[in-house]
Amino acid sequence: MSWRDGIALAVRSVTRRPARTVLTILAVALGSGLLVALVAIAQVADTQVIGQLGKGGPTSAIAVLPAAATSAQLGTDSAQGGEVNPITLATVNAIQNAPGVSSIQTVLSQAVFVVPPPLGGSIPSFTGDDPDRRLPRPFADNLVGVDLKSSGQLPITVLAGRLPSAGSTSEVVVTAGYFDHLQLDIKHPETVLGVVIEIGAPQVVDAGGGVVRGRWTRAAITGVVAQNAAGGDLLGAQELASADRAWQLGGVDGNSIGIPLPSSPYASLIVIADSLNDVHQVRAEITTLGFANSAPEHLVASTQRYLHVVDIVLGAIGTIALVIAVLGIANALLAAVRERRREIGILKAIGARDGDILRWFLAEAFVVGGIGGILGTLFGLAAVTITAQVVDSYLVEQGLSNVSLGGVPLLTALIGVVGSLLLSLLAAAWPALRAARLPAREAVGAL
Amino acid sequence: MIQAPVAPEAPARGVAVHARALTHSYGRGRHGVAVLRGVDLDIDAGSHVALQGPSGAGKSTLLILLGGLEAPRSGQLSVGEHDLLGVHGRALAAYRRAVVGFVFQHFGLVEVLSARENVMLAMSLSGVPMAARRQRADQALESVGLSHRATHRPSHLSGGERQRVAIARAIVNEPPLLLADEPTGNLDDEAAVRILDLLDVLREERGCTLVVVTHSALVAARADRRLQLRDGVVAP
Repeated sequence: MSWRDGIALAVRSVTRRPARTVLTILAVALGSGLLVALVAIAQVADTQVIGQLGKGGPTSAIAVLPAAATSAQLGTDSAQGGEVNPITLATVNAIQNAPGVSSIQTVLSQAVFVVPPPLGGSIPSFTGDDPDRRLPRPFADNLVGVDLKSSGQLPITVLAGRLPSAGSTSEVVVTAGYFDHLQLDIKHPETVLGVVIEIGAPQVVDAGGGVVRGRWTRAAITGVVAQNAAGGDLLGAQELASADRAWQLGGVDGNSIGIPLPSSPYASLIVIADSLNDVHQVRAEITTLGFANSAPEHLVASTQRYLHVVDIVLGAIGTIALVIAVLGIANALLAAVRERRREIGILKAIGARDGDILRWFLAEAFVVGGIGGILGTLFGLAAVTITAQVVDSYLVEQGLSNVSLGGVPLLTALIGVVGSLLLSLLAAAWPALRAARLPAREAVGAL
Repeated sequence: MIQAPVAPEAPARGVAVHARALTHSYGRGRHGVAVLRGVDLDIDAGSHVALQGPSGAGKSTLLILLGGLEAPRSGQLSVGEHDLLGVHGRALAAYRRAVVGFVFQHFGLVEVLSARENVMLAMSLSGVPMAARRQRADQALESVGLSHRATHRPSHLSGGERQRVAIARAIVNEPPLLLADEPTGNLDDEAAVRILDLLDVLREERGCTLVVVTHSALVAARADRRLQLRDGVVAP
């Protein structure tokens, strides 16, 4: 009897006790579904937790600040900086040549005035509120300028809307700080999308006389983000920040009136190491160059250890559930062997080998385990999808990024289906061997 | 010594059976029960033999040994060119596929398969190619007069029809030895006569050797020879 004949016979055989078959399949489906759901949730959790540590950018990203590194720098994830140490183009080139560095993103930060709608006000309106009309008050802030073509390598998480187009000088995104300034509710980020604001870069003409000129730009808010590239509630293309910076540098230092000239060409650098394993080495190089820096290397390492333990525990719970379920297959097959003693004898009497009987019962386990595994996997993935949607809505409500299930289903589907099949065959081995070893004289009945 | 088949009208495809001092028992030591105590037996190729005797005389056990369901403990047993003493496992299964067709009192059909599929099952065990199975199964069913019931499951067939499906399954691989254990034991008289007629016709057409275990005088009367077993030996 070939495997094909064995499976054909098995498919028919499982229909003789439909209730038992359905219950066994359901048990396997529940077991494999639980395994798939737990593994998928563990994987999503791993990705999300580690992703959160990267704050939207790669976890191998290192932030370099324009401050001198202290001796304690390498022992901690956070920046341990002292006096100002400007980041220049030479700094960028030196870091770029260090071993283990994949790429560098430069970040600008420019002091600006922000005028929310209604537009058309004048500078004096900045200094005073308009409580009678309850209009939003203009405020001073920083515009962070980044290379938006490489936004995936920056610690930026889009909470709503989208990032500005690369190179655009008429689009910006805002952070939760913008909502705080305007006393808006961050739970409704869509309320600011499309709103046009005015951004004014200062140029101190006469510090003693307090004469300041502005370079005014109107920009539409295209999105809401959480960003950790540099301090500032506005984020836009580097071209916009660079133009504003050039405008301010055209004036004089206004430190006495609170508008000092920038001390460093770059507000920070985001250095991407080749891998997590290279982060420490790259940080050491940066520290040697004399710059304070931060990266969640210790936090990522310890978090990964904890997550691995969680993965093992969740996987073990799912596997135990599946093992219990497939023991149902063993039980059902043992019952089938008891019921079919004479039939097994008959098959042997008409020429079946022990191997044919073994194949018949293993094929039954294969059919039941396969159907249960497929149903369970679908059930598990559906459960994960529903769970993710519930979690998503909660995270968005909390102003956090949503979870992504991309890339998980194929792996978990394989785990669910293949795991169910293998465990089913394993569980069926003993009943199948018992059946195969029954004597052929069972065909003739009790003697 | 193997004798030539004797039925003059048959195509002489049956096998002769010889047993000398054949013994068999179940269990071992003090708990062992000797069932056959030295059977001497000669059955001509192509003949029709009825095995009779009281319950416990060893009829079914002799059938089990002839059918290769178990190997005898001692003595000599040859079926055609096959010496069955000391043969076990795969070799015994190969003997059953090549030499023996079984007909059981309780039909022994697989309930979840149709009549045709039950007949095809015997061929799948013998490694008959898939393409040939259906045609040969239909021919076998036609020879037992059940072409019109090929797609029916056993539960939708009468007792006589089930036994005819079982006979079709037994003959589909054209075995030279047909063994029947109380083939009419579960049938009414009319169905029993039809089954006996059918077995007679098939034996004559195919020339196979037919050994029937029976308590029925009606069944035994159809045989060329009637052998009585008593206390594990063939009565003189």
